Amino acid sequence: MGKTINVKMLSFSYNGNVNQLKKINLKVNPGEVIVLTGPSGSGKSSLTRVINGLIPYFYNGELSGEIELDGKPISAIPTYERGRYIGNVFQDPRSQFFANEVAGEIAFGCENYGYSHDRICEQVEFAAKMIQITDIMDFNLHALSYGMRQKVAIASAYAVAPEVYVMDEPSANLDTKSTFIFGELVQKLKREGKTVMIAEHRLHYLLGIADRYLCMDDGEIVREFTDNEIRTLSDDMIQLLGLRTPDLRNIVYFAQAVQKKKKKVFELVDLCKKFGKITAADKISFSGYSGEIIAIIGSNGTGKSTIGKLMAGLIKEDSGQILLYGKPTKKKYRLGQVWYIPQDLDSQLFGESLLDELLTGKKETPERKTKALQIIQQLGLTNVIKQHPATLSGGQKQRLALGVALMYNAPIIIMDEPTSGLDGRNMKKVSKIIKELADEGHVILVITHDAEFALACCGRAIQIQNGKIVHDFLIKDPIEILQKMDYL
Amino acid sequence: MEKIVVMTKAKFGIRDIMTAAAMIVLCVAVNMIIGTITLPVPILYLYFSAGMEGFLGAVFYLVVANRINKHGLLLIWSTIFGLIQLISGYAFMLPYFVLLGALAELIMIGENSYRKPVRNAIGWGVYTAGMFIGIAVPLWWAWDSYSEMALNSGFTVQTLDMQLNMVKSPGLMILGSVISLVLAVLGIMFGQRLLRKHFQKAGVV
Amino acid sequence: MNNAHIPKLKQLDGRTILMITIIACFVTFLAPDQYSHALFTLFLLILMCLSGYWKQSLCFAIVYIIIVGWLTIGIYNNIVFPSPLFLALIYKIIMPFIPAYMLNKIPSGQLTAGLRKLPIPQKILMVLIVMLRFVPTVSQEFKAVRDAMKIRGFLSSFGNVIRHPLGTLEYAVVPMVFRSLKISDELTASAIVRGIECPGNKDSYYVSTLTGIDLEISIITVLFAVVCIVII
Repeated sequence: MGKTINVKMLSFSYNGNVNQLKKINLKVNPGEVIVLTGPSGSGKSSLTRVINGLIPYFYNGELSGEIELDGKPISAIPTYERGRYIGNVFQDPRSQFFANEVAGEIAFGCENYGYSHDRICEQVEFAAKMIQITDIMDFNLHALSYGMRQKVAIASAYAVAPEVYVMDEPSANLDTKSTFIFGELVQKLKREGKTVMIAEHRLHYLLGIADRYLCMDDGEIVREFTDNEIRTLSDDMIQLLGLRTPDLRNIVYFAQAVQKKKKKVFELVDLCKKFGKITAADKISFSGYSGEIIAIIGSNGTGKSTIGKLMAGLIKEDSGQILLYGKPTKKKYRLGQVWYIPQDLDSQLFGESLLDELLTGKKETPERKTKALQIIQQLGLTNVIKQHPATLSGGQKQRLALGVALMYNAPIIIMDEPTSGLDGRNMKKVSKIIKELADEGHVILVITHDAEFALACCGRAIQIQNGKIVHDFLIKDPIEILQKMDYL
Repeated sequence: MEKIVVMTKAKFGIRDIMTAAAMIVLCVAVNMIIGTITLPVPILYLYFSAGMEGFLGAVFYLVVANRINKHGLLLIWSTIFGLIQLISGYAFMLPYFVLLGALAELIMIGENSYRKPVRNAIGWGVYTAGMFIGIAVPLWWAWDSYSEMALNSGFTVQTLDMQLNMVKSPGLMILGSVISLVLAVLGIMFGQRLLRKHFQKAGVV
Repeated sequence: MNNAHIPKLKQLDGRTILMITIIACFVTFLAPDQYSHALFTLFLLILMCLSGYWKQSLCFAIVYIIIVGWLTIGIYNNIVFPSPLFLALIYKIIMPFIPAYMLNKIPSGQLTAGLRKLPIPQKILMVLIVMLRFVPTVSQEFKAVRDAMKIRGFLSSFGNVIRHPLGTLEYAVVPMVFRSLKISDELTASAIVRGIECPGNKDSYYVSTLTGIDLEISIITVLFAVVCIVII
């Protein structure tokens, strides 16, 4: 079963610019699970897009070279037909679903390929059974968690019964548990003999499942590893290749120096918030001190974001108090003092250039301008200062969002999943900046399920479950954090 | 070497449909907000809502127009709004909106017209003025029909003073169209600025 | 299929409800007096009850009665606010709103399957279908943009907003457009790789057929409409 993919001398560039892919040669055997990894911009996504046909059809550019599917040139198959042979799962659970209900979504491919009504129903039921989502068929997709949505994405591809699956960072927006469940589904596809190509940063959930790991950089495949080899990769190698640590137990951890207790900046006292029947915050109490970087961990839906929004003054608490520098505060006062940076960066960028982004909203004075330029330099964004914020990469946008918080002198900064989708290098850059900010006296709360990131910069962790704090501890032992974050 | 932008002769592709749908939804959302705010003051609603909707919606229209640059956009846009009217109580206006769209398309005949600010201003202005008439006429009919209905039910003419005479007159109809046109053109100017500053600069259009 | 639990009229096809909506549009304008208008409204409310929406039907009935009462009092006593024009408009619109509500309750996949069978041009149909899909997304995205605006202080006070209307507008519109375009592009890619451009006749997962019930209800509705308009 499965199909062979043969890539020969594949090159691609977006409209004459730098080559995204440079003479790639690759052979994928039937039933193999291949992982494409590497720093952002290395060409992983581009390669998946050439295979599923989005390049050059949807993303224009110059393509040369050949891809063969079971010996036949793939270019002979029009893009709209490729879905029969190649199933796809994309990164964002908010924007890859066409229908509003689960059943309709799973049926989408079948409908498009002209299956009869009876066959559509058959295939939909079959796919739902195999992916084990028969109980949510009538549910509205917008009401499902991201983890469930990605299951629906696989089911939708599965219903057309392709032999090859191509996935582009499918776990980027998923929490730890959902990521492992997704991995199990990939395992299931492998057992059925399907060929799977996954472009990914996070490798830990594919250990033991993938056959080969191909590291790309600057449009070329630079290294190839087996499962064993990648587990035992040295830290130097990981850095060199710009990867995330594959086996999280091997994370090189430098214990943070235990800080002397500094000034208490904020204190939450018995904070409570309910949304209808769901308790998002149940008597949350903890304090934050100047210079601390606190990781807020816990599985999705347990109220982490809610606590952030309560602190920032975006939602009103049902009961309890939030004290800043010892004084109880009202919601309105906290806006601007507690700076909440949401996960989606596109919704919070308003300017037409980096400078404008930092200056807009208040009068432009020479002092503010100087400060803005200084911040941009500190964040390492001087080289892109004239660009429009919407054209920045994920890592750059994250740093820009931090820059805005700095412009407004927010003493407390809360970041919601700042590293989802970031490669190793960018994650380290963000981590470095956060540490600098902490040294300057800010308190930083990081809501995250990225263990590597938490270990890179956080000194303390608070675990939230069902709206309650279950653990509040200093990070000393990486294994402890990995366990509490459901990685082990 | 001169770069010639050729208007694609192709029909609406899937990407064009998605872009148009997304922007039209934003436009509809804005329209609903304006409608809800102005409805309690019927004079405001009657004479200004179309213009305000034309002002705020212009930027969304410009984004689609510049991105896809294909004929048929205003026809589709107008027809969709006609269909929305269909389930809001004015089903009989659908043919009017289709014709309005066709008229707007006539204005946009020519190469690359959907990327030219002046053409867009005229096309969108005519469309907005047409929207005003499309709101005003059924509204008048609604009020007249209610008056007649109330008379038949036993109200007397004196008690039936509903300010209707204040609000209805051919002169005011022309005034309303002019207001709508002006607001729409201003909207295009504002939208054009946003387009240049953001969307064209970022390359999404 | 086990129909025992489903109220009989919930099986009505989307197209029938659409037709009822259109008929209601005509009746609301052509009804000669308040009694025939009320009669047809009652008919629609009964249809709504029989479709299982009796709670909503009650709400609509209450609203209708309040509007009629308010309007009558207002006209008799020359009360200017709320404007009788406004109330008269609501009065006219309630009637087609009732079947429109029922239309709204049909799951979008089901509705889409029905719409596909209508003589609407393909492109327009596609735009409508995608619009249906975008509505929940747009409201979610707007909440995110509004929160970001709050944090930045763009919405700090009403005065602030009023003094810089265009600036505030720019802050609200620009991220919304960027997000919407990004989502629409990703959605397009997702649709393309699943064959949306594949030519040929396409069946649907959802079944949309006109059954005996549809015919019965359609005929009854038309007859009743004629009665209300002409005879009474």
